[in-house]
Parts: sequence; C-alpha cells; structure tokens
Amino acid sequence: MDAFSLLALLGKLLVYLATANAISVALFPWSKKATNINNEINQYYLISLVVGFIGTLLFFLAQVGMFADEGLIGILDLFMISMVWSSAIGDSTLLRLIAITSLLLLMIVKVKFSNRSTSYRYATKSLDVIALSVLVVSYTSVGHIAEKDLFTKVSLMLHIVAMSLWIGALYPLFLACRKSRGENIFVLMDYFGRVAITYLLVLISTGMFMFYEVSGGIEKMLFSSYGQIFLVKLSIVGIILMIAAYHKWLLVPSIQHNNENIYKLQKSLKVEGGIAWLIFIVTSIFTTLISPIH
Amino acid sequence: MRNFSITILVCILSLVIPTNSFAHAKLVSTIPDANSNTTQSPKQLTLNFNQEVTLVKVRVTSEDGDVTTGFKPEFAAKKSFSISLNQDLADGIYKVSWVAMSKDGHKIENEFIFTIEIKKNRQPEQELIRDNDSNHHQHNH
Repeated sequence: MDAFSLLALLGKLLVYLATANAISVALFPWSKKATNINNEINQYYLISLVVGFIGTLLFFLAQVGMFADEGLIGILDLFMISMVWSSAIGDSTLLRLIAITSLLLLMIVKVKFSNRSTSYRYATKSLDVIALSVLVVSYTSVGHIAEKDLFTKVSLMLHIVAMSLWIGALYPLFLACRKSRGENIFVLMDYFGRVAITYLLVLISTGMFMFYEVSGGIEKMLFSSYGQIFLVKLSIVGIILMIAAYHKWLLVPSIQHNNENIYKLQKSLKVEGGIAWLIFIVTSIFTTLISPIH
Repeated sequence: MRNFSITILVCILSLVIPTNSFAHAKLVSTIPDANSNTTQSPKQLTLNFNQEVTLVKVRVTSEDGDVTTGFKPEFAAKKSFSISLNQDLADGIYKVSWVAMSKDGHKIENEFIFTIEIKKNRQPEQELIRDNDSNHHQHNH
C-alpha cells in the first residue's frame, strides 16, 4: 500500500465519521431526550463537520496523487487536479463540500439567530435534511455502488443513514452517561435501544443486499480478498451487536435499580465506540483499496 | 419533527440520485494483441475497454528504454484509444503500461507485452529471394 492509498483511506475514514456524527446529531432528538449535553453536542457537531471537510479534501488530493503517480509533488499537478475534478471523484467531492459548508452555515445561523417558533425550527431542520441528503447522495457517485442500479443506491443510502443514527449516537450517549444520573439516562438509553432495532434491521438487510450485488454471491466470498475482508467486517459487526444486545437487555434495565451500573454502561459505550472505529477502518479498506473483481 | 425529517430525507434521496448500471471497467482487447508476435512495426497502439474510461497514462518501454508515443491524456471518457507511435520499433519485447480512471472514479492499471520479430522473419524471406536469383542465373548459363 502506497502513501496515497493510506491518505485516501484516512480521508474516507474522516468523511465516514463526519457523516455518522452529523446525521445522528441532526436527526436524533437529542435536544428533547438529553437536554443537559446540548453544548457538548454542538461542539461535537462542529468538530465533526470540520473533520468531514478536511477528510473530503484529503481524499480528493490523495486521488490526484495516486493518478499522477509522481510522488508528493503529484498532488500539485494542475492537469491531474482538473482531470480528477471532472470525474466522479470530483462530483462526489463537490457534493460533500457543498453539504458540509451548508451544514456549517446553518449551524452558525441557528446559534446566532435562535428562534423558538415552530416554523423557524421546521425551516432550519428542512435545510439541514437537504444538506444531509446531498452528503449521503455523494456516496453513490463513487465506488463500487456507482456501477449499480437505483435500488442498490437507495440501499447504500439507507445503510449510511441507519449506520449514522446508530454509530453517530455512541459518543453523545457516552457523554449523557457521564453527565446524567438515574431515571434520565434510563429514559434516553431505553428510547435509543428501541429505535436502534430499526436501525439494525435496515443496516443488516441493506448491507447483505449490497454485498450480494457487488460481489456476485456468497460462494465468491471465501475465494476473494473482497469477500474475506467483508467477512472480517461481519465478524466485527457480530461483536458490536453482542455489545448492543448486552446494553439493551442487561445493562440499561439494571440502571433503574443501581446507579453504579451507569459507569459500567459508560465504559461499555467506549468499547462499542472503539469497535465502531474498527468497522469504519475495515469498510474504508474494502471500499477504497479492494475491487470485488479481485 | 423526527418523522418529518425522515420523510424529507427519503423524498430528496429518491429524487436526486443518478441512475445508471454497468459492469466493472476492464481492458478487453489491444492492437497489437497482448502476448502476440508481430512481424511489422505497428504505427499505433489501440486499447479497447468494455466501457468508457479516461485514459490517464500510457507508457511503452523496451529493453532500450522508453518509446516515444503521441499519447496526450484527455478529459473525455472513451471506450477505444489509438495512440500513435512516433518511431519504427526494432525487434524486441515491448511492454505497454497504462493507467485509466473508470466512471466510478477507480484507478485501474495494468500492462501487456508484445514482441516484434522483423529480422528473424525477413531472413528466410531474403534467403528464398537469393535462392531464386541464383536459380535464375544458372538457367541463363
């Protein structure tokens, strides 16, 4: 693996994280369910968007360097920059930059002009959703799914939204555990546990469908590096599912009777977050470096 | 508010996503053929892909080093590319390395070789002409 592949991988990883965090913050009702972490959530959102912006540029420049194949100086090759910009990579980069910049501007507007009227909230929320849609659509113009039909692309977008609503919520939940006590944290975790089942069902069904579409069947899974890395991802997903099940059916109910278990939950969420990072890394590897036809 | 957000998200996604369907890009044929032996120096190279790609780089090398070609990268994606060779190629093995960008933004690269054997094939031809000449000469006597 050369330096540009590594850079592309890092860029993609940052974009994944930013997408997950931005969607979770914008679509999960944090302001109602966890009012005491609103400031932290806003910081988390801002940092995620900046990270996403940097990741997008990093991924683009890495692609330029990869195609120029002239060492580090290759990323300054103007002809290659124009060529990559005019390709699907450029389209996706443009969409991501537009989406992230719009989300940042909207955030500034919401902070500067806080207005509690329902129409204002609906208007800003609609604009947030439009910008997030652009961000999600940017994933369909590049990579293995770009070659597929509408149904597969919709599956990818649903996969990204469901993944984001789950994985992007882990850090805010961790913060909530640190700052909240007793009934509050139980209500939040219980609510998340209920909606997360929907996220999981969408994630697993769309994930399996996309894998089938891209790789061409389960029998090919064992004999291709793409399939083998997918199996690694599947194993890690298995682990995170077990942790999620442990939270939902054992740890969260126990919070009601024993406040000490909040610490356990906090620690366990940290582990779950670490495993989510691993899933992002593995996904970045097999969507960036490995072709299904290998 | 959450249902409202999700409804908007689904509506937008179903409206704006592009729809196209195609297989992975790959090189399907070349002129001269990959691994072929040819008795004439080709005037140009042709690379044919199964779908439109942007050809980013083409490099032809032999034991004597790089061969100058008329390749200039273009933004336009095409299925077939003809690259002129600016010189006659001598006998030897030639390696053609290429880099292309598929429509989905993936870098695809590969190489193929072809062999030129002009002298080796011309030798028996010349010997035959020489033999004919000498036979003709004998008859005159």
